[in-house]
Amino acid sequence: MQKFFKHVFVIVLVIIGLMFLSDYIYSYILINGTPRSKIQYSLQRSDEHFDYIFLGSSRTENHIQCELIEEVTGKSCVNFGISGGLIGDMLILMKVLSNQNISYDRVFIQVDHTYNYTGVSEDTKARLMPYNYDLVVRKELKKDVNNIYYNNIPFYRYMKFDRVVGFREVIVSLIGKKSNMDYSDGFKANIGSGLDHTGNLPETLAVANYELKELKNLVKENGGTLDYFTAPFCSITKNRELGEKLKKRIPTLRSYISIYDDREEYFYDCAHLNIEGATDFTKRIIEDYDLNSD
Amino acid sequence: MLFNSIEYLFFLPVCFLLYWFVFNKNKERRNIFILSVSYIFYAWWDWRFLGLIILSTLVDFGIAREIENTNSKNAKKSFLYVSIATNLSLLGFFKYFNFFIESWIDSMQSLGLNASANTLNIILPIGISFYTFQTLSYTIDVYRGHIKPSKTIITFAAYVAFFPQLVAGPIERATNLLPQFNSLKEFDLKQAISGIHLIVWGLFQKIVIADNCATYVNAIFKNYENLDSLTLSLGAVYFAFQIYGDFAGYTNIAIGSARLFGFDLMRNFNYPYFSRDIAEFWRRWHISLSTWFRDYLYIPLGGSRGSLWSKIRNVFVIFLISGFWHGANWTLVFWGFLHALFFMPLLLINRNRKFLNQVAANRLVPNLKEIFQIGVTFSLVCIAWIFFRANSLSEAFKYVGRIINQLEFKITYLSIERYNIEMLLILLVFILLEWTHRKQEHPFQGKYKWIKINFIILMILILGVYSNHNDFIYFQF
Repeated sequence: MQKFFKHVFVIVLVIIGLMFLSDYIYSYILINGTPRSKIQYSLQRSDEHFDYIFLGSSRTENHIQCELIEEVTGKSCVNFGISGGLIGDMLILMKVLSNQNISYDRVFIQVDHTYNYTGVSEDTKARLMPYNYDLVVRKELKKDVNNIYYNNIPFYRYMKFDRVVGFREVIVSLIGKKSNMDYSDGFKANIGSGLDHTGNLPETLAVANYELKELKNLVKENGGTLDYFTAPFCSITKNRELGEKLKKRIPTLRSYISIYDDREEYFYDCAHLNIEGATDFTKRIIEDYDLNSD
Repeated sequence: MLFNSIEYLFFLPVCFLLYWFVFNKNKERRNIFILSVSYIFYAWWDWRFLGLIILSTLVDFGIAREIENTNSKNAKKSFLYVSIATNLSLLGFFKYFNFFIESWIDSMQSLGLNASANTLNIILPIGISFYTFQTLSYTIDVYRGHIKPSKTIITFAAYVAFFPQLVAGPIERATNLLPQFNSLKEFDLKQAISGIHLIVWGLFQKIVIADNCATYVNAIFKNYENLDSLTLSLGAVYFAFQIYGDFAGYTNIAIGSARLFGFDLMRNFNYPYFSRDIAEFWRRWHISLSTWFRDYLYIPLGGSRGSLWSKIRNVFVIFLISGFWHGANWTLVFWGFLHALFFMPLLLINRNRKFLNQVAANRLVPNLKEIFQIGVTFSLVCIAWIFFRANSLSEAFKYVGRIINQLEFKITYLSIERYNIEMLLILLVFILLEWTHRKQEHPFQGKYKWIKINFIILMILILGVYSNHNDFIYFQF
């Protein structure tokens, strides 16, 4: 029996050893490799200033052309919209930026059905996993009930979030494969047009979103201002009056939900504009928010 | 409780320690212990269905004793029929009731007749197909005089409910497993270490091979109407490895777990995808089920004796019932039918027992003829797997139709955990490992044993799928 226990002990040691080793290698590669997400990109920046920062989901990522804004206004701009991103994702991203001594003048956040959600999306949480040494990230990850396992079981965080920060991501980071997105701009173009129905807006709105309030305070503390907007939805989307409801919660919000009802050719699908639509929408943003004269 | 769950990670060592260090004085106490933990293992899923196992156990224990005690041949036969009727009724009600009702309504409606009936919201009790076959084989073996009935209900109940093989087999024969409960086992180092190795290998098959393939298979079968020939063919190949990794992985963990307690379960898989024809495939795939059907159905029907027509009938009966055993769906019946069709040429030219030895027995590399035979057999098996996996017969035919009609040979990118090339490399490593160790039950033997153990553990850690908890496919049968 002793020999058996010894054999099992060696196998357990092998498992633990490989978990420590893999955890170290994955963390090293993901932290130091070419940035392959906006979270990774923001965590690798420090001591910078942006005039304009755009926050939101894919409906910011696909709609705001920072290159155009920079060209027209001569100001620096970055699009931190993340596909599937929630307000909580934007809050943690802004906390990270503040912590890395990145300053800004104006921040724009896209709000729509995201107002109903709190917390960080699974994708963003996964991207934060290698950075649990960072105080801001650590504090954020603590909110997850499974954080005790992520922190104390080596490699568990990469096993659990393998889809985002697993073997595939480590290999492409290691070989230096760049993302097809330029993170210094952050805009991702949709090519083509159509009105594929991607879903409807909710009928009701949450009473409040404390993360949005926290974000507002954070921006204010850092000497910036926060503006709110909604991006367009196609005309067949149900409950588009959500924009008006949102205005009651956030009086300064500008709703662009129905601005392209007569321009179907601007849509890639019902919730996203194509590149032509994005160009027009960015021009409207520049004009409406008077970015040219800032 | 699943073998690939955190609960089992604690359950197994605790049972092991209690078994060898607390319940080590006499076999009766040990059997009571095994029975108790087996019932806990099953109740973890749903305690209400324990009643069915207990009912099946009591019926067959009692009937076997009555068969032994009576001298009348007719009475023996009557008792046997009662056992068969009870077990098949349980199986029939829980597994096939809704299927028969729905099929009846469908056939009436197809004849233009109005028919309606209520189906019941029946939950399929996990493992019912396995333990009912196991208890049935016991009664039949007692009837045939192959085994004496168990003297104590605890021993028999422990045999039926033995947790490593309770929910998905191997479908053990009383002649092999029951006598193992009748002795006080001594710890056997070699057996226990091989058990640990089988568990590691089984986990690799399940978590790395089956679960990775599953992500592709699910995506491909869900979107088959938009995919091209090569992607759809890959979908069938991935499913072939998914179901093999899933079921063989489960079986290896089951056999390995049993060995930790000193029990030897029968082998269920013997590298089936290296078979050179369909007959050989069935001697290597789900061995405990195919030999069950052979011994308790095929041979009593006449087997390969008698006229050509009776042989053909027997083959079709076995394969159709085998398909139906897997589940109440016409796709599974058709899967069985296809295998019967693939088997026919071998039967007609009397070559169904041609390949009884190991392929390329004394060579590292198979010759061209063997590669061709293995390739053809694997392709036929993959075609049949499409019907096994599809949700309906029409979906399966459309899937096959698109492979033939959409002659586009590019691999569609699917936004899932692995790249196709990554997945194909994993499968290549798996095939090479299996090929080079095809004479052994797992690869962890020989001079480089520890290197291989390290390599496989590393693969489990970095290539395993942990984001979704995947049940074993055969739990649903």
